[in-house]
Amino acid sequence: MWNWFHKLASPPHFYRLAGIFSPWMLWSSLILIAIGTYGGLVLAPADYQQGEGFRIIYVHVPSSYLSTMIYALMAVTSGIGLIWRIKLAHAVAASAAPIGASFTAVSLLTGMLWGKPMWGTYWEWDPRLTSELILLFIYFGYMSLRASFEDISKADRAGGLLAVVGVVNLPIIHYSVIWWSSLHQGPSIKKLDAPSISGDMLWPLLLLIAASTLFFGALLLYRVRAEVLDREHNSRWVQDLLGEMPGAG
Amino acid sequence: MAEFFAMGGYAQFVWGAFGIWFVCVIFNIVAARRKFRISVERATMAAARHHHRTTRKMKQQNDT
Amino acid sequence: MTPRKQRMLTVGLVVVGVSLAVGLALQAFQENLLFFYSPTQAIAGEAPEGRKFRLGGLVEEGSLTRESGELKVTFMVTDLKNTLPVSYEGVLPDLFREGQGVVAHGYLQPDGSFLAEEVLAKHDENYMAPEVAELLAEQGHPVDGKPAGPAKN
Repeated sequence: MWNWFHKLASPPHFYRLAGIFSPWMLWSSLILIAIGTYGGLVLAPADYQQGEGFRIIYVHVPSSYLSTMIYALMAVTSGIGLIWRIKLAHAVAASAAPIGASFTAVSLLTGMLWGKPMWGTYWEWDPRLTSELILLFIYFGYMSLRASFEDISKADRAGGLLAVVGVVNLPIIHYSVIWWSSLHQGPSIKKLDAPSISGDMLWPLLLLIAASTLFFGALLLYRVRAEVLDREHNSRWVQDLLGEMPGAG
Repeated sequence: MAEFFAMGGYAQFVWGAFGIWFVCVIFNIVAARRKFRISVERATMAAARHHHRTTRKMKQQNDT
Repeated sequence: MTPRKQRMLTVGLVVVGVSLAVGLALQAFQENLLFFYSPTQAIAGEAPEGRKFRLGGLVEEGSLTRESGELKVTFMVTDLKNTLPVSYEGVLPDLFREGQGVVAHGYLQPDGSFLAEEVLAKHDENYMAPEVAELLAEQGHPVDGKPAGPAKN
């Protein structure tokens, strides 16, 4: 197990494996996203309270989920990178950040478009909305902190510490609707055996959550490969790989 | 069909939200590929430089 | 202690320290973080006097009255213990229903009623097709009118 882990964490091995998997993951995730979108827009019935407007759930929930899941991954890999000094872990964290930031923005924007007709307002300084906005700022802070260092290993250490510290915001986002009185409703999928959303509305949602996770995985592999090349372009294996066949990847 | 696009009067909100999501998906693919392409170019350049250096060194060694 | 264990300890201590600091700060600002006050709290004088605040609760069944030809409405907001009359002039959000959650932003009047400048609807986490909702209602399950979680402290 440990051996296998070390082998995976070795950059040339990771680079090769990721190159094999990422296109497959990308295409299958796009197909699943298409099916889920069709299910959400066409097959799922309208809601008894919100009518057709509730369909925003099919883009709002997957992007909100990605925004926090990606941050959790970023914090864990940063922690691993800081403690065990594994460069690949830092490369994963650095690559996840822009993807996470983009989905956090989508979560906020689609939430606003949902809030306007249903609640009566685009924005309200409500605990859930505010903590999600803070998450976006933490992503921006992480990326600009990294960009301010010339030296990659310094960027890894400073950014890693910020990512690890920022993890306190995650439970605040999650429990904000339970701890404080909030405009945002509680979670609809607390446990899978008794969700507060009926089955014909649920499956496209679950499919889209799974598909967008796969989509994120494909993007992450693409970006980590690029990050590995940036960090290792002086090492033998990169020169062997690219010296022989220029432009190939 | 027109009824489907009207989304029960919520057209601008529903299509707006799906549009934002779709743009984000496409943007992420383009951005990731772009980043990869730039990194490959940069690493290829570095490898070529290195290759050039080592061959020159070898040539010098052969000459002497 | 190996350097790795030391790093582990440092990272762990930083996370615990920041969590404690944030937790204490949130505890201290609990009052300000309260998004809305319940009618009980408003009647007990816990809500800021003479200042705008938010009143949250359920719209009491059958309490909505609309003045003909105008946008002016009055309704009762309840937390199932106390109720407060609310008056409002403007467009109500789509999810505004009797028996559903509502958050009104405005002032408490000297006569004990609440004058709202903005009314927001709060919905629950249940999603289902209209036919399912009808079926559930026929079987006697309440599908709406559930308490929308008035302030818990």
